[in-house]
Amino acid sequence: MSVTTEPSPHAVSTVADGEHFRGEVREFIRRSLPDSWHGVGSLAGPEHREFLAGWRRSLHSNGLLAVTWPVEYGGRGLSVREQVVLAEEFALAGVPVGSENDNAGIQMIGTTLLALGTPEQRAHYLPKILTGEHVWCQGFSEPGAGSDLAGVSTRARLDGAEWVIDGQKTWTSYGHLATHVFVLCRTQPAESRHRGLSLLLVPIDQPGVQVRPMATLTGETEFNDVFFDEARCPADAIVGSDGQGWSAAMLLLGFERGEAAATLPIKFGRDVERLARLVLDRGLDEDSSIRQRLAKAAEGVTQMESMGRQALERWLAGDAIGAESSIHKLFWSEWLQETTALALDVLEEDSLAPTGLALQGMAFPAAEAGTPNSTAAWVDYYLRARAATIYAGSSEIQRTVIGERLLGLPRGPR
Amino acid sequence: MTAAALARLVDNGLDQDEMDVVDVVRDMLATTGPPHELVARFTAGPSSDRAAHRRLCGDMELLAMGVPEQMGGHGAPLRLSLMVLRELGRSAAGGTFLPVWVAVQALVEAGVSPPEEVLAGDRLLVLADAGVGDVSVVPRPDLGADKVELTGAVRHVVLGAHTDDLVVAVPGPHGVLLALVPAPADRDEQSFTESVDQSRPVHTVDLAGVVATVIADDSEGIASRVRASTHRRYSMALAAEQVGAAEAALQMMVEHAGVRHQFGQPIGSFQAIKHLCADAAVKVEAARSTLLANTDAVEDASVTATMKNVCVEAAVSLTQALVQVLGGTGYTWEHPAHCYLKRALGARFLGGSTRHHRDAIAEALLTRTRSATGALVQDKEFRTW
Repeated sequence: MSVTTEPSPHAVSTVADGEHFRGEVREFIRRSLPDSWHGVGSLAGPEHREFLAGWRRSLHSNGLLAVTWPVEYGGRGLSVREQVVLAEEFALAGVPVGSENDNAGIQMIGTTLLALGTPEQRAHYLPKILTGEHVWCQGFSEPGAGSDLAGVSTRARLDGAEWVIDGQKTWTSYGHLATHVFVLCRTQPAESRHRGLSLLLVPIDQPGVQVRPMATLTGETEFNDVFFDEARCPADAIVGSDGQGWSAAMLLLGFERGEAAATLPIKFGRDVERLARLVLDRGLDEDSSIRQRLAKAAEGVTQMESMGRQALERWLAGDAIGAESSIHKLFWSEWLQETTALALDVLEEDSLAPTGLALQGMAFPAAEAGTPNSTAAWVDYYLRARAATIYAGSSEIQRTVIGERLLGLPRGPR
Repeated sequence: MTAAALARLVDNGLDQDEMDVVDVVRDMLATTGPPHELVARFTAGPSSDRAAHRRLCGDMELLAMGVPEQMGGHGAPLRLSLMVLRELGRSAAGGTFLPVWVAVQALVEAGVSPPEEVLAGDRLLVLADAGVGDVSVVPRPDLGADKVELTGAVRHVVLGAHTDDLVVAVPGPHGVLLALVPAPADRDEQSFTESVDQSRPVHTVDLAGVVATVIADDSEGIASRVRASTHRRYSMALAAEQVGAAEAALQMMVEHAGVRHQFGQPIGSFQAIKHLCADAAVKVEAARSTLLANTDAVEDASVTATMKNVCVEAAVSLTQALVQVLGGTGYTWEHPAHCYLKRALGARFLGGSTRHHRDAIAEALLTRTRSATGALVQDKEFRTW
């Protein structure tokens, strides 16, 4: 499997409305993928890795990696609407919008630097993110600060022209692939909680930083512990000013642009189609309990599609995303757990000894198009779905957010 | 803050025309009195709803609103009627309006102008769908082509003891036969049964010996199409009504959790209650979105079935949770919570149960999958953003 990686002679217009841009994205996809393309989930091993690397290079050379960034930093200067269109078309075609680390690099720290960075920082960091020279990961959670992020205890002090960092970060996704980590740490020891924190930009390849991968439930490497022992970064490698780390971190976490509202129903809809096929293959299509649960799973997709359409219309019209995204997160994460549990019930004892091709790539949070209907893929999906109600704000945190911010219920003990 | 935030969500996605109609309905419902009057009205059944029904139909012309102009109506889009039904559901009102609305839709779908008296709210007309086998046609060549004699009884006819006329769907010579029937005069004595939803009692209507006027038969498949189309509208109507009910339940739940104090603090500050309310809010948002995003999907049976299931099940769940959050009060007639719960339970079984609709959704999905070959990736068209 190979990908056309040469830059397009017809570069996508930088001024485009959503539908015009959609046509150009479709043309790019048509040009780039073979006719027999079933989605990235159908590729395994080296073929999968090779495709992803080539695909990302192609996205970069065609200016499709960070379309909302200004042109001077390698973006296209397009609107969020076009970003959503791109994500939607890629989801339909079964190709990713970037690499594993691009969420941390492009969406999180890159966009934060566009908002809060100095001109020097932008010029230094942003192009390197797109070329892949800098690969970023997130250093927020700690063993003692998970849902309660303001409890971070990693600290940094100025030593001449450098920050010196000590502490530990954890749950750092794809940290083992990264060259840089953005670290939320305490730079003002006299202050407490969300005051006196800073966001530092730290290179990983140095004696003071150790990245220790840990196996997830499925046995794969995704998360890492990151240890800082007198790690160093330049004094000017700070986002915003000293002590403003909390607001920088909140801004960074708030750069949700709503693509998920468009893409998840597409991907989950494919899961239901695959599940229906599984039910047929297993001869359970007349089993009334399985039929009821299958229909409920399908109803869930319609609900997500409907919520996504309604919310995107508001968000693209300029409404703040806010606590409604907690509703979406809670809904899809629980739907995913319920639906993958149904798949295991369809497989019955065959799920004890999974065979065939497993889930490939990130599958975050949904399986990629082309995922095979194998026992291995479904068991993998079921196991990965256990994380969905924990990451990106646990279901308990989401419920509290909904209760307090959306419903206006009084705050209580945490 | 609470009320404003919730209200903003409720009115999201409605255009100015829709808001105008919604406001008129809300104003009318606001004059119908305090909660205990709602309980009294709801539990007294259809006879206590006649005046309100006449106002909705006669004064406000909300029934005629959704009927095409050439049939004596105002030709408003289906979505507008659904927004009206949602407001009625919010006040546990419209006990009579929705069943009559469905029967009127059946006439319209069959190309028959609804009687003026029905549109004005002076006569009641409801749908009696016999399903297969409960009612049959007695051969009577002497009656001519547009009349038939019926035999058998239809169970669970909503407002069957109160209606003036019935639209019946019965097995006919070519399949389904739709007919207009004057309600039998002596039915109350023989058919009265207690109903969970007191505002919408169901009755067994005995049609033995009744002569009916044929609206449509299946010699060209028209009656089957009209019946299926009516049921899709029935699903959407119940979905809309129950979204309103679920929204009302959430509002009441959250208000109570914010003012009721125990252990020196509002009970809504406790996670157990807060999270229960949050789960309820998720269901409401999903149901509301499913309704609003699909008001143009009346031709798609899987979508209308989904709308009904999602919205009705949300309302059942929400009203159960409301009773729990209210505590002892929620279990009494001191609070209208039980009216909403009973209305939702009734809605679950009207126009086909959740289980029935789920089975149909599964069948459609499995049939589609059986015929699909190769890649399942769909080339879906999106035009919205």
